[in-house]
Amino acid sequence: MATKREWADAYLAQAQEDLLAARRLTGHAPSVLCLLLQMVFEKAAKGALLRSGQISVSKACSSHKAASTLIQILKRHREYLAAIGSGSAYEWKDVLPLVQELERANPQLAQDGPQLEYPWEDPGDGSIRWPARHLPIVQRMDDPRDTSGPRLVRFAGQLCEQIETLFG
Amino acid sequence: MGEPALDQVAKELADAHRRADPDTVAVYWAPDPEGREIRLVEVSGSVGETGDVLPYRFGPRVAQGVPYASVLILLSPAEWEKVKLGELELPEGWPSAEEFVALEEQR
Repeated sequence: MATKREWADAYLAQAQEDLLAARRLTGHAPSVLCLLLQMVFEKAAKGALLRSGQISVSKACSSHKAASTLIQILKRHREYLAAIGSGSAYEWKDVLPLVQELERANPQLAQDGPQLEYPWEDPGDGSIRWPARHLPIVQRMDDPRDTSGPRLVRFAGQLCEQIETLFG
Repeated sequence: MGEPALDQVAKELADAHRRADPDTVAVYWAPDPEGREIRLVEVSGSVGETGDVLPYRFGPRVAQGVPYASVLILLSPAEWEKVKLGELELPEGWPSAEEFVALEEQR
């Protein structure tokens, strides 16, 4: 039977692969970029939580809230954030809510509401909306006047890199 | 009315980014020899070190007054020093750091 460590390593390896694809999509398909980044953070978080013994394998396989759990841990342990990058608190204040916003837009969590993968119906006027056109975080990630996109992708890279060290 | 000049849009983007990140130390414009896209390198104390040069691309956003594609590279001050020393590589086809044009804040 596979060990927790093997599951953790597989989640981290797949997070790195998703990130590689995400980085190639900037400027081309921002909604798919967001979908991939949400997957990166979810898998990286599951890897970290499995390694640190904070969740079981069955929980990792079924939960879609691992990223926000990891964010809470990072906020409680500022030394982890410092280890991930030596940037100022400004960066983390700016970036961490974006990770949580991506998680809320996970199709499994958003259900019939605004989400990263499928169209949804606006309860206000009954119109049909879809992520590439209407999801606010997608608009931000594709706005050349807004640096949220580059910051978030940098953070994803730093996080994936440092999980090995922080969550041994 | 025609499109705004590429260098003018570059300055506007740099100003917008400075307003969003008060820890911005410097913004450089790396002219594209083909004049098709805006290439910016921004050095900020607010970003951690990745030891990596990540070009983040944006498509044109005509409705927002940005009719050109753009590429933004965020660097920490230490990473910028490494770029200048040639220890960190810029994307292929970009000019060297000595050829960058410093963009001062527009008042």
